[in-house]
Amino acid sequence: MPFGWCEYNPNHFYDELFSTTNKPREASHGLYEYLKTLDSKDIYQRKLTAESAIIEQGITFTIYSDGQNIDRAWPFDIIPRIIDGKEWRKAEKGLSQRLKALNMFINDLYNGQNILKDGIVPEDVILTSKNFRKECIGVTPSHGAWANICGSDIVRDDSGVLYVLEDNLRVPSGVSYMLENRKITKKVFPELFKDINIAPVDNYPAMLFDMLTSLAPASAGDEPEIVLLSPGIFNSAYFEHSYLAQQMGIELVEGADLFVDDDDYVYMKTIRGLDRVDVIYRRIDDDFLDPEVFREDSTLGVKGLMRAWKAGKVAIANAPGTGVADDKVVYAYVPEMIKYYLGEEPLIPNVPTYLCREKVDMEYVMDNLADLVVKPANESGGYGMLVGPHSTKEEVEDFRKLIIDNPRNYIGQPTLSLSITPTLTDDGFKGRHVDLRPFILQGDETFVTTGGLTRVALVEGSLVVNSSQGGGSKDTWIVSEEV
Amino acid sequence: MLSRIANRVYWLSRYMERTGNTAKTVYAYASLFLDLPAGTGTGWHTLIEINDAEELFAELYDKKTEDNIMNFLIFDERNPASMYSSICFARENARTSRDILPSEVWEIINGLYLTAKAEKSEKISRSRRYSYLNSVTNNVMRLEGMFNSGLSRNNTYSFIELGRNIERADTTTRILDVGSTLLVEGKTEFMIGHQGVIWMNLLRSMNAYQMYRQEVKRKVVGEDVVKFLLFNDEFPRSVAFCIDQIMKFSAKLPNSDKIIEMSNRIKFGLESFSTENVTAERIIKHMDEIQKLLAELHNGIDESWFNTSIDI
Repeated sequence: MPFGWCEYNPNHFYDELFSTTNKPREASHGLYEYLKTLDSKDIYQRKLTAESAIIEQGITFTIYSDGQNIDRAWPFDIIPRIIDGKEWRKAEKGLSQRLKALNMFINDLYNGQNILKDGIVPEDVILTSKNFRKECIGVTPSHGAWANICGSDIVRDDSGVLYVLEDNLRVPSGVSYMLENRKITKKVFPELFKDINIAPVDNYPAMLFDMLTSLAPASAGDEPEIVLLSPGIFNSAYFEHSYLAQQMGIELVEGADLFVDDDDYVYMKTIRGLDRVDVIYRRIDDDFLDPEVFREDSTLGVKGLMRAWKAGKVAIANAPGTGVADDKVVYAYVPEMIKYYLGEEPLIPNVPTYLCREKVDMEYVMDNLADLVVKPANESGGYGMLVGPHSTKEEVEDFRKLIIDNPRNYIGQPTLSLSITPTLTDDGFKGRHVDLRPFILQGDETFVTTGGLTRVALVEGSLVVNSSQGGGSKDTWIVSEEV
Repeated sequence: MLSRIANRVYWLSRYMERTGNTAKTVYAYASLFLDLPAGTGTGWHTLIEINDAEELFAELYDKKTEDNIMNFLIFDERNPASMYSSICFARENARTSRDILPSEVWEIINGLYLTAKAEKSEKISRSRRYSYLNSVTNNVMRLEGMFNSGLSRNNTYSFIELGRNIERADTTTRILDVGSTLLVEGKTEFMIGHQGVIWMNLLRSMNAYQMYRQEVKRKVVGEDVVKFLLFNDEFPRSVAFCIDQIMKFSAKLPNSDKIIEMSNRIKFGLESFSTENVTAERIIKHMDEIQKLLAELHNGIDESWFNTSIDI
């Protein structure tokens, strides 16, 4: 038996690489055959190659603790996660379908509100959402697209079915790591890229740039000025902001660099003077966007930005108010939206979701709390959630009180047996749970990344893949047979 | 180039120049004291006066002892002009402009900060203080070398040069101030007899002594030193040289007309200063005028490129 595989056993989990013990899936055959030729020394040597590439490329993420922020090297596993090209093409269609419906939904909410009038989505769900921004009522952004960049989380359960777990529509991050992971893997396993038909991922910055260009107001002319608005160096995703700005050749700005003049145009302060800005790819939350309209104490945003946006003088991606659809209660209605707006059946299902605001669902959640995953409607980064089967009795009871106090704010979902994939540990290859975050763009056209960012829970048995909580990532290969 | 980034790079450069200058001045001043016998009427306090920091010092300390003054100038974070403060400000500016600078720049400045923090936390001896000042000077030189050989001659580089040269010119005028102040204050016969020693030490504090000697081949007198440090257009720390550099690098930037014009006016003002029979009082007065002009020049730079007055 070759190095590292002798004890590898997927047990009852769905394995992304193997169909049964030691029998690789069709798309993974090439990788498995290759890995078998490597001995222990080779494998750990490759791991070192990856580690030094990460340091050289300066790939970091920032975590906050005790008021200090620390740049950490990006935790990366060298064994790629593989998805069959045929399966991916279906998933792509499902993701595009989903984002189209979500955008029609948001546009409807801020305009006719037909879906509420028709009783498909209960009115109070929207009106009690802190992310429904009445300041946005009456606006229709370019192409009717509010969420221009979406990072959906996809998981697979033990039966092998792919589900959308959540839609991140506010300021989704992670795409730079997807791109960097590919660069590292090319250094680690250069020979494989010759023999296996792995779809490239590096056109993302170009597609993002084209999408942003397509949002520019008519006044912008042929070469709109596009900027990326970042909260600055202390933000955990600053590496990505700087990376994407560099890749697209656009200016990386902070709130203090921009100002809105009396003519309602947005200007950028440069050593040449004032440059008009046409499109803003913002990476700050709605709350901080414009102290004139949202949080007054925000120093990250730009005074008057909403005024400029509503006057149609600047495009903002994602549009202000998009977050209304990034709510785990609203999530539960996405399959209905797809039927309502597109007259289609959803191509990728939702994870079954119990809404604590509904009496019947609430009872179910209360009775089965120890077996469920319970999430707050409006948090991200895996914070503030309960994983029933991995929690103590006290934790479950504490959470029960939180839910009873504010049922609208919680949803319950069954604890999925997430799929696993081989991951290099100090004791050879072990199965570790993974999810996938593809990125979907919508401007004048729709685009889905080839694969996405595979996040992996590096701790044995853990289901938490967030990098802030012990997660890592892998390169994701969409492998097709030679055409 | 964004105004904010230009502003940060400019200040990064100013603060590092200031750090190096303080280190050198304190070092030179200390060695000057070793040459002067007690009772010459001079004191460490002159160092506080050069920095216009008498009031703040009096607020923070009871006695004008060597230790207090050294601590105030080197480590006291309550003094915004202390070396420690300058290093912290430089570090903040470097941290937020890391994307456009060679990575060694951050490493050097962060290293200076870490060392300063460690030294600050303990009471250090005189000799350790001097070796610390030396290491700061060396690191500031490393940084200059990094800019010189690792940074393209782009807009970023121009702002580095502007910051460095305006700070440098300002320091040179302040050092001439010290020399003159010492002479005015220490009116003992001894001081008058030892003018040469004082001027030589001041030249050393600016690494100017050797170059001065090559240029001026006679006994060191105040008149010549002032001339050399104000007008010499070959020595990189003379005010004239610094102003030339400011003109040269401004010219590479957009919207530079105003700065070039202001610089020309400063040079004209320099040249109109006659060093014939110059008195210490006249030097002090003239240096104050140049410092004012430099402050105006800084405001001009701010208005031309940094757009800080536009409300956000």
